[in-house]
Amino acid sequence: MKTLFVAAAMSVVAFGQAAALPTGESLFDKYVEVTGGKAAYAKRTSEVTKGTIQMPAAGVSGTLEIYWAAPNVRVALMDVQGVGKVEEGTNGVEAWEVSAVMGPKLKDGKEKAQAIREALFNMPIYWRKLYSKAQTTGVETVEGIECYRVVATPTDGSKVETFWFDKTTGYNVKVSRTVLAMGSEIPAEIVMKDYQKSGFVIQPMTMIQRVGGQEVILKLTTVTANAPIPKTRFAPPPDIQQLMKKAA
Amino acid sequence: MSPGERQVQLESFEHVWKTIRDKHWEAKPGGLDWQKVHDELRPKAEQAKTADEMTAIMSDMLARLKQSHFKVISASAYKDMDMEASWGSGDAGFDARVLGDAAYVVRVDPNVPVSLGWKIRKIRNRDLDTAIRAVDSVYKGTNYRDLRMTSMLQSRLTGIPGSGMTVEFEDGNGQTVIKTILLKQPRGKPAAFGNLPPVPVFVETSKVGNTGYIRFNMFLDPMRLISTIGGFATGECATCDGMVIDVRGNPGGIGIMATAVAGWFIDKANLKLGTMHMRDSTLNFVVNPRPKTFAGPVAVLIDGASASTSEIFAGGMQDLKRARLFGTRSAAAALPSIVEVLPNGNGFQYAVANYISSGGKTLEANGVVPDEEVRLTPAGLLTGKDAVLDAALSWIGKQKGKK
Repeated sequence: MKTLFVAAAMSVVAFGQAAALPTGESLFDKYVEVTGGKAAYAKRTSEVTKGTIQMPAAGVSGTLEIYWAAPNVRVALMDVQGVGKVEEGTNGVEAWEVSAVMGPKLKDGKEKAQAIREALFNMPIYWRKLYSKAQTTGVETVEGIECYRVVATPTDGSKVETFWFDKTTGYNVKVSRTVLAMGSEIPAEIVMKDYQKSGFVIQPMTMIQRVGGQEVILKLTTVTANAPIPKTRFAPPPDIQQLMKKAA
Repeated sequence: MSPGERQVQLESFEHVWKTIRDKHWEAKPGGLDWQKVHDELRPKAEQAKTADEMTAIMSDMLARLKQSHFKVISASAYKDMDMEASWGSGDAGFDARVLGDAAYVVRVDPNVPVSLGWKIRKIRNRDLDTAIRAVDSVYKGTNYRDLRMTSMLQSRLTGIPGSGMTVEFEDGNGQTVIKTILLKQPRGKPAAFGNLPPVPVFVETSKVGNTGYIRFNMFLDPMRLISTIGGFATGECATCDGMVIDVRGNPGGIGIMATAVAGWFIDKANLKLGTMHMRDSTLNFVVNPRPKTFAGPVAVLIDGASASTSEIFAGGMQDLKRARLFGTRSAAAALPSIVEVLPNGNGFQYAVANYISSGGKTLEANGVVPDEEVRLTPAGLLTGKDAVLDAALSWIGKQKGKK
């Protein structure tokens, strides 16, 4: 009898919470709305971003440039002190990473799929394409902000991702996900801060990535929407082109 | 210490302790009750009268882990190692190792008035036996002995570039030879990585007959080092009979650079040198093959002063059966680490992961065991021979014969 009572009470509590929480879908939609709305996103066809990258604990810093265009081509260039130049990119078909510390890598399998998926331009408005399910599971304080916690299931079968949306502003405060790199599945958290209007939409100008107990801080200094980017910018670098020929 | 200085020192103490608590790959660091370590040392830290005493207490804390790559680097060491200040970076033009219970010259640059195999008795009139005994009092019988001995020798065989250093040798005939060695500017170019003090990095490539030879002193400055190695291995030496990669005395550097070097010699994708195990995740050290790689036999030379990234590289190449290793067991100090600057200005190096080679070996405390153990001997060195290199060249010669 007691067990039945507890179970019944729990179901009531669970039901009560679910009723009080907005749906995951509505929170993703709200995010699109508060950052500019679908129409604003639709005006953007490309973006050039410049900024800095820092690993404060290790004393490492560098510069960052990202070239991104619709539908899904993206190249990120980093120049990190003591490490040198690093390029990560995709032309929508192939995905690669080239650095002095690791050499050239033509991505394949799940790593390649993840890189192409994440290069989807204007990603927020395509969230339904990226996630088959978005379930709000509670309210949590993250980075000092009260947030809705949403667990999203990717359509490509990869591991679930957790989003925290600011209860007040609707902005995305944090994402927890699995990064695929170096043949490894690496748990990562990305905190987003300093939302500002840049071009047509509002976006975070500071991103703090926490991976393997270390913090990497990306600070964007300029974001230029619809800047002309030559197509060659998205061409694979020479070493990657040679690897593509070799693999063919 | 003023109250303000004491506060900064105590903040540094807490930072070191908390970092190990939160970031060591074992929930119970080194198998210790870490809270108990704190509770024992905190009162001592509060009573410390000088910054040096505080550094000693933090060093004591880290020493209890009995693992490599945990240390406090005094703020003055940064100053000493500053390339601009050119203090303590002078190059004697020869390398030394402790063989048995005495130090010997094992490599000499051209035009340096020293011979291979000479025994080193005194450096700047200080008896070396005393220092060797001091290292032995702590490390005799351990796999760290060679590394500590080499560090001790290196710290004595340096000074202000342009200054003279008196060294007393014993030649092959048992005669005393006293030389004033002019300390040169350090070889290579200064390279910095994060909070590591800048160090001079060099890479040399040459041919011994038709075998390539590559030596570099650290895994740093990747833009220059990796391209130099690759340019040589797939360019000038593309048709060489084999390649010798000499990481003897190489203390490591950026861990992941081991994969970039391996990428010039491994043609197959998705192979890994090993895996880094952190508290919440693992990271594979996957080799990215270059479009063009060196296909011939590869020999890697190691010794007790080959540490960290050198061990990751050598151990992985051995496990993947891509290289044959010659020399003596490596330093057994292979934990991936980072270096922070503490509030008191000291450096703080701590390991963030354990590392297991692709063959399943934990390199820390075990080291990499060469396929062919070859020990340098004073008698062999006096003949001008490098027995380890000779063994590698002989093996490469036989591989050619097998073709």
